[in-house]
Amino acid sequence: MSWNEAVVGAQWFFLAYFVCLNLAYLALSVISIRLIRRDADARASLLLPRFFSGLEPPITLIVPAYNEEPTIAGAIRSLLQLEYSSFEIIVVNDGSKDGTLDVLRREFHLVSFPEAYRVSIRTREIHGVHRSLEHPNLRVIDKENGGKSDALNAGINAARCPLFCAVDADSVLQRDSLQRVVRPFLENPALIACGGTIRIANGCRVSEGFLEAVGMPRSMLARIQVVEYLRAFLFGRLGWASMNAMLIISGAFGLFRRTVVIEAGGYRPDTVGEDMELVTRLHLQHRTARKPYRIEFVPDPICWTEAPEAMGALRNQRVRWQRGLLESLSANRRLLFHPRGGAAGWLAFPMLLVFEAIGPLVEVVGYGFMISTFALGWSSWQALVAFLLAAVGMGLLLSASALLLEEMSFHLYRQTRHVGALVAAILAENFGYRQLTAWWRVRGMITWLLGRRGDWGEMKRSAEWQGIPRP
Amino acid sequence: MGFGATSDRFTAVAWVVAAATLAISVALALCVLAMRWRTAARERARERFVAAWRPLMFDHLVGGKPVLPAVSPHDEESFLLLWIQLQDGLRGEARAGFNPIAEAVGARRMIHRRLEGRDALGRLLALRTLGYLGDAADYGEVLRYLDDPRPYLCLAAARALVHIDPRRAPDDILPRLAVRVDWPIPLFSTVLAEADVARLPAWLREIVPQLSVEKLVRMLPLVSIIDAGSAEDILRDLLAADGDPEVLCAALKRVSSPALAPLVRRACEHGAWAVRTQAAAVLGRIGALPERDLLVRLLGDREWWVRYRAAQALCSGRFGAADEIRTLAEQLKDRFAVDIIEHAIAEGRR
Repeated sequence: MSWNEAVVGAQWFFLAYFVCLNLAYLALSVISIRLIRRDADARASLLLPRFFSGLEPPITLIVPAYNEEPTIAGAIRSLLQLEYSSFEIIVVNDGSKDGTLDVLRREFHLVSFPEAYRVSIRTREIHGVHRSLEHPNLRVIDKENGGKSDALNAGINAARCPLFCAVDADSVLQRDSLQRVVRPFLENPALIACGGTIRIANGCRVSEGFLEAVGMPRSMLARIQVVEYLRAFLFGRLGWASMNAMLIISGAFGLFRRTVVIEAGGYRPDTVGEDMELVTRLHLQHRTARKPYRIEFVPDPICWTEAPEAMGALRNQRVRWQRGLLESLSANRRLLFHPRGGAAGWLAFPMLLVFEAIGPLVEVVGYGFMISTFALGWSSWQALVAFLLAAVGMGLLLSASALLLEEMSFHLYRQTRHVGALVAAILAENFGYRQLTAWWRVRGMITWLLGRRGDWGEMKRSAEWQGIPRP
Repeated sequence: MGFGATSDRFTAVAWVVAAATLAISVALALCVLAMRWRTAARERARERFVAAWRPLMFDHLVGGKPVLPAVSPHDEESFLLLWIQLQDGLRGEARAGFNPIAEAVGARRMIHRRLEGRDALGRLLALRTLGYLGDAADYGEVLRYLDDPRPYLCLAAARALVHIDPRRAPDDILPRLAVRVDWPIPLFSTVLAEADVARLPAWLREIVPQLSVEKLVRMLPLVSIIDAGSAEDILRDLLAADGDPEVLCAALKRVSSPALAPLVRRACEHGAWAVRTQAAAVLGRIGALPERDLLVRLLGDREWWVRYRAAQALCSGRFGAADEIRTLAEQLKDRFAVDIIEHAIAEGRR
């Protein structure tokens, strides 16, 4: 093979890779359009009066908290107002260095509680358990720092309800979030976990811990993340869930059957992608043991979270996410093409591996290769421009289809200027942001390969949308 | 180095991909804008309709005789939504008194058009309207939707049937409820609670022996909406049969009668810890002093959940004051028993 043929061959490879990646996601998008139409029917059911018979399964909300002093009180207050027949809240203070515990003590009148703590999953040392005198369904576990997984495991140990919901301390929930996410559990006894759609809270108006009005973030960085979240949730997870192959339930909000998670061994403390790792492991364990199960997804926007608006915070988040993805896939690699792996092992896992785990590397190398071959005079400027435009076009197509799905389903961004802002974000995303995040994800791959220890992935929160001034 | 035909082909294909994706993206964006424009226009029309009709409907409710304008086909959905919303807030005679307004504007025509269509929202509105209109002649039409594959349409149909004929509706709903595992029992039990459930105990007694363990566990919460005596009979049979632990647990969860205490005491000795856990919890609701020693013994159970429910039962107030219970636990010389009692006492503290 001549040098020229090798260069052209590589060009074909990169173009084909991009086309395959986008075709795969477009296929998911088409599945999701069908599901969204079907789900529109289910949303119509919200016209039915809200029933509470008291027969709904009680739910434990587990809120791991690490240095959440500015936002924790508001977050817990909003959780206490959720509309559901029976639930308890367990806040796990994972050795915060700030005044998280003091705020909780002061705001909720905590007293020391002689909890007969039951160790179903081994965790770091528990310093103490506190209970609110004001709200009997609120307990706080104070423990040695051990990371988010360890905090969640401590919460699971103390949970008293058959279902538990892992909630991030900075999440803003809809009042009826639990009612919506529990619905699949009522309709299918084989259901073991259910996730919901997470949306970006930046730019929204939040009062008393609840969302009052949907808005558009001021910064372009956050707006682009709005588009990313639309893509990830509206056709990524919805499409996979229809095949019982969804390998991730966001750590910001997910409902699980407690006994199933305990039997699986709880969250793994040695990964930064504990949410994905657990769900992938549940697939693997249930499929290999031939146990009937279902993992569902509710597309309703039920949880709102703050997106990083500073470059550094965004970089750290993306590095961590990529590392978490690789850790989850490598820890559960037996699922890949397992004879009993089903759609999870034969479709979702390979697609995540080829397009999400390795994708950023191919993308970065692809761009680098095209530019350097042009710079060295090995390819024409027409080839370079055509390749870059094709890459941009495919990115635009995926984002535009996500926007269409949003319009078909929830159209939360009601003002026309919001749609204009999203279109602008879709365009802007392709010129710098996409390439930068791909590079950060490559760095995530490197940290995974080097096997560096994970941490809480602390993010500097502005919480301005909660009406809390910057410290 | 020169570029051959292969490179030209690559460039041509890349241009085609770029042009196609960009064109489709623009088309999708235009599609979004068109949908947005249509939705906004529809919302404006709905707001105008509600502003005009709400005062008329309130006037009718307080006994006035407002002149009702015709409802255009575009406004039918808005009319049905508003009418149903107001009906949701009414009770008794006021509900029936609100029906003439629907009849006057031709609600039946609107309903039938929606039932013939494929739109689920339309069907739901139609079923809900038929339920509130409460005309026995519509029963058969609504009944068809009880067999729809979508559980929420079945729920709407069940509710409409209960509104139309509360005596007959359970006969049609219950057999389907036993078969349709996708029907959420908590929601359907609320619907059935509005019906005349006189036949429900007999039906439950008849069907219980025929159900598999899984189906029986699913159906047992229904005993909470029947009369206490019938519920007691059904639960007694199940507890006495001492069958599958899952069934025993489901039955114990529904026990509220002290007459079943002997069977619950027996369940406290069951080999499956889940059964012992439920039995201990039941004694917290129905137990009396004679059961105290049994519960104290359960404080030493090897399973945490059994100790926890036994401690909660002992601290329910039925078995003595907290100090007394604490002393009993201390006599066991078991650290776990003392810990769990302290836990349960603290839970009850306000």
